[in-house]
Amino acid sequence: MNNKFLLQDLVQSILDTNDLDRKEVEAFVRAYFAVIEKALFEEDYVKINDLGKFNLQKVEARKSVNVNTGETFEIKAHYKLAFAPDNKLKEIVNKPFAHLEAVELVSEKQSAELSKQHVMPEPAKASVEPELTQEEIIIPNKPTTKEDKIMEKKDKTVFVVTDKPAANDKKTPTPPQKPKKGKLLAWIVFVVIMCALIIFALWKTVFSDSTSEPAVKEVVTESAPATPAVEAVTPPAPKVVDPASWETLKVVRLERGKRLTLLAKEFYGNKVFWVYIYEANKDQIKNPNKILAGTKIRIPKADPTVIDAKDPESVRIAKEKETKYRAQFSK
Amino acid sequence: MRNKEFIRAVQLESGLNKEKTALLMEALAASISKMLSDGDSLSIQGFGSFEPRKKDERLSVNPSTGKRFMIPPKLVPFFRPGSSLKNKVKNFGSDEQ
Repeated sequence: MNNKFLLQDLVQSILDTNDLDRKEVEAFVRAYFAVIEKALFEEDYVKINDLGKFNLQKVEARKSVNVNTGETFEIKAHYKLAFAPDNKLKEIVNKPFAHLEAVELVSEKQSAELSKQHVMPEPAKASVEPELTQEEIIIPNKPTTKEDKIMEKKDKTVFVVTDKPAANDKKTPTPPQKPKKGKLLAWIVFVVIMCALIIFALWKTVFSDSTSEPAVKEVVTESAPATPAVEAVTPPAPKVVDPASWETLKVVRLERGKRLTLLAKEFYGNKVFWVYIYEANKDQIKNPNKILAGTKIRIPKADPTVIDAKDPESVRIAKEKETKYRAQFSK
Repeated sequence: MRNKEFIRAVQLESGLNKEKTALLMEALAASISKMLSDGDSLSIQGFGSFEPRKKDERLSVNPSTGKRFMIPPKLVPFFRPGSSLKNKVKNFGSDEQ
């Protein structure tokens, strides 16, 4: 390991495996490298089986600054020698690591946990935090089906309030450990917030499915004296969106090179809302990645509770749908 | 220059016959492979050096699916041109002009 071999050692190693004359082998090795060098200047590249390809690459002229004087000067265009190893050589050299394979990281949550383990080897702290936020969310949680806008806002504020102390908690213990990793810390805080958001979203869906009675009562008495009024205000639940039933805003004939995302950007102000255009035209579009030019696309009139480019929540829902469709059609 | 042309050129340069050249071509590539796979480096005076290098593992994201992958570490053969060859290459264009 880590020996530095010279031309003589190369000759010796060839002699070890073959029954040849030393002088001949030496002459051959010298000729070998001399020819590579010569050929490079004559033909720009030399390809050798089992070894690789030597290549002359042009480096364009560029401006640079002298660090000492601050003067700008131009680095002239020149060439550099590049070597691309042959696949066979690559495989042989990589043998110790050949058994390793690329691992897919399933969710953001997992990668967050992974990075946490990298940064600080105290899993206890990392695991306590999400639980804490989760608990806090459960308490004010109520059925989404009957949720009116006020409720939703309230829910959000509670969530934000609980989230912030968690983030602060984190800041205080870490700096003494890793004072230099300010960026990393900010990233971790961001990831934690993302985790909390995902958990929050999950809880929301779970609760909208199984409506728990006591929670409803509590909510009603708490904020709204007149129950019918609350129900009257109730907007359509965002989960059961069916753009196919929406009013038509416009029918567009798809031109060559045009995409659903471009249409969404044009009509709704954010390209992620293409999913709703797709859902409205599901009978026409088999694969949103491959739509025939000339297809008539019905642009549904935007429902402001679902499509609102300024509302991060609706953008998020659209993004979720987008990833779902991406996964479905990328196969 | 392709492999065949290269073998021919080496044969002419070294003055060996065709069979020996072919045999030595293989033996030389095998020797270099062995040295690199053992973690050793080989430097040729006036030409450059071959050495194995370790690339660390990294995180990669497929932009179209958003899937995240951990790419494992790997060892790659690396060639570093020697200073005399490097300078020759560098001045290659300017000599012509």
